[in-house]
Amino acid sequence: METRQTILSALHGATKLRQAGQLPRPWMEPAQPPSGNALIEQFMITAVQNGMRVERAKEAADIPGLIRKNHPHLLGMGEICVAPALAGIDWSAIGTVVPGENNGAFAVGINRAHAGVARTGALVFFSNAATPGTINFLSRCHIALVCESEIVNAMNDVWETCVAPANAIHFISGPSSTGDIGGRLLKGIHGPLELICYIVEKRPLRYCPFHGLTD
Amino acid sequence: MEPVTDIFREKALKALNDTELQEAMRANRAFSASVRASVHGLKEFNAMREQAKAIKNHTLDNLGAYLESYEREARKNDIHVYWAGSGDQARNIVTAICRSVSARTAACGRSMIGSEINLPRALEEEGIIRYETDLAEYILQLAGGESPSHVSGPAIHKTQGQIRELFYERHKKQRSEDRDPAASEDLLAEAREILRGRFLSADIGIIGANFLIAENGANILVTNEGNGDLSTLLPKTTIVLASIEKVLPRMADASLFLELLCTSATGQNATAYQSFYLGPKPMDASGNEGRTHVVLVDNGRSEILGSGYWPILRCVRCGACMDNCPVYGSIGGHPYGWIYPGPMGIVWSALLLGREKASDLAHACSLNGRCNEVCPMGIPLKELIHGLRWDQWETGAVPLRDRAVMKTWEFAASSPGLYRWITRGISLTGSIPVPGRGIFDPFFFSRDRSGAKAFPLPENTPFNRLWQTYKKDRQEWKQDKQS
Repeated sequence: METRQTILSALHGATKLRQAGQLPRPWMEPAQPPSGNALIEQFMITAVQNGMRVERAKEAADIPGLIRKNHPHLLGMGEICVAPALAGIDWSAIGTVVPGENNGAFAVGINRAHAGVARTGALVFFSNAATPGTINFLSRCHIALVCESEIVNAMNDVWETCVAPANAIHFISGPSSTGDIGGRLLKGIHGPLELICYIVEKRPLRYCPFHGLTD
Repeated sequence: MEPVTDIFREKALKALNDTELQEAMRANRAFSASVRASVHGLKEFNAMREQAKAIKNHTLDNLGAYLESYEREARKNDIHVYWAGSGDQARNIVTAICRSVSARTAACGRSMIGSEINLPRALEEEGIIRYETDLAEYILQLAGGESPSHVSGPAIHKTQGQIRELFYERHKKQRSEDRDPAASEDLLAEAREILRGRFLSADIGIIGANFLIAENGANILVTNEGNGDLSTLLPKTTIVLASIEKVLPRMADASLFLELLCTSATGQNATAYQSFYLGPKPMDASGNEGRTHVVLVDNGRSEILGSGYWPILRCVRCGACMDNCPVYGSIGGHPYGWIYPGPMGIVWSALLLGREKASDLAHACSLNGRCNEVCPMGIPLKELIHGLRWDQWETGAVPLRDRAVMKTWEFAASSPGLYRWITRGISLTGSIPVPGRGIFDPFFFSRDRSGAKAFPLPENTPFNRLWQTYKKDRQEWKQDKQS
């Protein structure tokens, strides 16, 4: 407590002669942000630039079939880890799925994104029991599901939709990468080598970061 | 790492003659050019910078209040908050936490403040095995604890060939036979395999924070590799080290600062991972509950806040100033002798280590102002470095020889007649032929030993004579026109 007081007193002493102004308003984009299809298009373009693979699906139930058709290499990589929030979907088309955390044993992990951010092409994940954070980081291939209606323009729009707390919120805009070897951007140093995003047109069920899918 | 900032000249000369370093710096210049293109592509950059500067200035003016708010909110989130006035105190807090959970291994994410307070040595003394998880830091650890040479790319001084040789030497036992040691992808796979095991087995995670949010106690971590997140999500206990100036008032401020940081550091509008940590991990299936400890480190910041150098506290450690600095671009980061290289490093080193330990650094600058132009926080680095030089002059820290040269220059430059006479004399002697050596070099005594910099001879016709001629010609032209 003594150190705390010493630091706070020093800070007070250092700034007492300054005229502290009002806190400026948060940054707002001056241009009119896109909406509707243009917003989804912008998200897709930016996400692809970031190294994400983006595909569209009519509904969540179509995703297992799309994975089987478009990414057959993922089917031979053992059991697949799925976020409990997505356990209601029939995943039998892609093999055995295990709902829960990825403890490092699963090469492929499927998670539910809370939102997508068009300006940065990032997917937003809540880390909690329904959508465990380890799926996003320990899987070799990370597959994510986000609904069209959940795509927003900027990061600050996410806070408006964020009603429930979580122990972490991750904005993920591409596979794990590094430029530390030869100055070239290489994918997959620690986290996923691949990030595949499915944008679902029809919202499957109401999504709650704490209780998974609900009516 | 221990600072060695007092032999800048020798190290700089060595760096200029290091061919492998020069190859690595050429690659970095190409990278910097691509970052500049991204910054130019962000049309709102200047407006965003002004807004960020205003928000940060307000925060610094009220730093104590925002830190108290952060502490209050973080505690509500079950985060343990500690205050450390000095590096010693911070090291003691971290090692005490490690002892309390009987940690023998630590997965360390990249933390500038951790390096600043020399945490690696404290962990070593405590007998804790330190796993550096950031690839560049891991490379430096393999290389025997080399110091970082850049704030966002600590191993940019290493060529791919050097890394290949290093991995070949140090990974012999773990290498898979089917890997091609020359391919960068295989080098990456090799590092991934080794580091993955370390993440999963570490007793404790130690990371830094790019920002702290006062309104809700969040810690923000920005990486491309995801190593910081794995160091947080996997071990039961996490220690976050953050210097006190990292606090921002609101969640709504994060997007602005993150975009400016990422664009200026790597040219990306967002790094692969931007995480907001709001509390410890919840209890897992085996009943283990996570714990998060945040150590707020002052280590000289409160003193800087009360000085004329306070704008440096806006620094977000993006590295844009060094990427655009001709001095850094020629010699890399090692000659600066500590963890902070380039223009921001000159200021941080002088303020945190003491002016006397970094006296040469203040002169490692051409004052061209490119750092001011590219700094996303609008820090007047050129003026701060100039200020350090003034401080040296006024405190008598400038060597007598240099003072004599400067005083002579001052006298000559403030006497136009004498100045003209001297420059004309130099110009004339510079055209005297010397058998076997071309022409006479009137600046032979000041030639840089590296040969990389040569003082230019004055032109035969100096500027003020050209100016007089121009004025006369213009006068004549006007008179002709009138007549």
